[in-house]
This record gives sequence, C-alpha cells and structure tokens, in this order.
Amino acid sequence: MSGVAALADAKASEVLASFARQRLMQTIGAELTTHAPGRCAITLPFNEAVGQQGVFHSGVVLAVAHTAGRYAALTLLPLGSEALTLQYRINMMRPAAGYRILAEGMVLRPGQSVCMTRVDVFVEHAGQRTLCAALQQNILRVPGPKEVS
Amino acid sequence: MTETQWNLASIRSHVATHLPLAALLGIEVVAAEPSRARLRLVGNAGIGRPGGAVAGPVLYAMADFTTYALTLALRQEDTAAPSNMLINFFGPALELPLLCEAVTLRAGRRLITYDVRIWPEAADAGRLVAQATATWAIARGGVRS
Repeated sequence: MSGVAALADAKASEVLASFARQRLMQTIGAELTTHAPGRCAITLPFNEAVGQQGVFHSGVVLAVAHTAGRYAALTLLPLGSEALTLQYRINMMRPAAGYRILAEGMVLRPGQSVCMTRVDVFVEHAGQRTLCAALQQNILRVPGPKEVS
Repeated sequence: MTETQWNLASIRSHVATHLPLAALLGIEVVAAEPSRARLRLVGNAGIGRPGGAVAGPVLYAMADFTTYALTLALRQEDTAAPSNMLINFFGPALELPLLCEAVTLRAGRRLITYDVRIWPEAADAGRLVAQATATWAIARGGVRS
C-alpha cells in the first residue's frame, strides 16, 4: 500500500485506539499493519489456537478479513463515528495453509450512511503470497456521541 | 475419507480435539443430526466488542461450526470445506448464551447449501440477531455413494 496518502493524526490515533480495544483481535493475536485513507491491512501469524489441522480456521480468516474491511471504512468516517457491519459475503477460494495470513481491505464506495468494502485475504507460505479468500461487506456509519466533523 | 461414524458424541470429541477455536470462543455443539445441527455460544472474555455486543466474526464462526457439524452428520465425511457464506446482521448480540441452528436448503452431490439462524437462548427463535446462507463444497472423490 505504498504511495497512499497518510491519515490525519487524529484519525490515525482513533483507528489504532479502536483496534487496540478489539478483544477478539487480541485474543487471536492479529496486528493492524497498515492504515491509510480507505485502506487497512491486518496480519495474523499461525498458531495452534487459530488452526484446524494445520490450516487457518475459516472463522479466523473471516474475522481478520471482516476487521480489515471495517477499519478501512472507519478511516473515511468522521472522527467519533462507529462502523457497524450490516452484511458480508465471503468466498473461500483455497485452504489458508501457511505461516501467516494478510487481509487487505479497501473501500469501494464511501456512502453517506452505508459504506461498501472489499477485502482480499492472502496466505503466505514458502515465501509466496496466495489469495485464499475474498470478502465484500456493507458497513453502516453510526454517528458517535463524540463526532466532531 | 475417514471411517468415523459422525454423530453428536464423535463430533463433540472431534471439535474438542481438533478445533481449539471452539473452546477459545466458548462454543459447544448441542445437536448434530442429518437434518439439523445446533450450537450454543456461552462465550468468554475475548469475544466482545467495545459496547458489550458479541463480535460479528464470532457469529460467523458459530455459523461455520454449525454447518460443519451438519455436514459431518449429513454426509459422514470430513473432506468438506466452506466455499461461501452470506451473513446478515439484524441487531447487536447483547445476550448470552446464543443459539445457532442450521438446516439444509439443498444437498447436491458436490455442493450443499444451508440456512443458518442465530438468536439469544433467552429469547424467542423469531428474534434473530443474524441469518446466514452458507455453501459447503465436498472435495472431489470425497463423497460416499
């Protein structure tokens, strides 16, 4: 995601602080690695708790993908807003067999109230990155009590 | 292909042995028959969102586990894999435990499509927090005739 404009400091701080409160992401060991306007990337190294017979469990693949899309949307929302998921559809293309997964989320349409995002999930194995799942998601913008713009 | 007889007891044992995510999220299989499967989410400290609602991916994981259990009971096969899922969220899941039930919409030779519904155990089954349509693919050569 090089060459993408950086987030304003206040928005970047809000995004990182919000991610740090996501207990599910902490529980599985996911890390937010990139945040830029309309984009977000999250990685998760393999560990036994998130695996199913040596492959990332699809629920974990979905969790990371969903969160990447949601935070991609959050980067474009006014400060103080919340992003709630209305619906998503995920296609699992191949088993996520590797030492790490990477979910890259981007906003397709930043609507006034509903934001559409797309997330590609890659699995890394033997130095190669392979697309293993794709998610499309609708996010509802909820104005927060602290919204300032 | 395995020779395991997939019933509630063997599925529960399989989940406990091979799917540590279930224990991590606080999920237990309570019914698994060829016609339907049901899971119960008792939860734990790591599944909430700020605000107290169960995180959406946890609801997805419930739907995934439920359809997995139903696939095992229906096809007596452990070679299936989820191919896609569309999930609608109707409201925040603020009450635990949650129940998740899956029934078969169409069982094809290679693809099986399920309807999945999630609601709070304390509420009527009509008050859904989420509904999903899930499709599982049976691996080539993995179907017993």
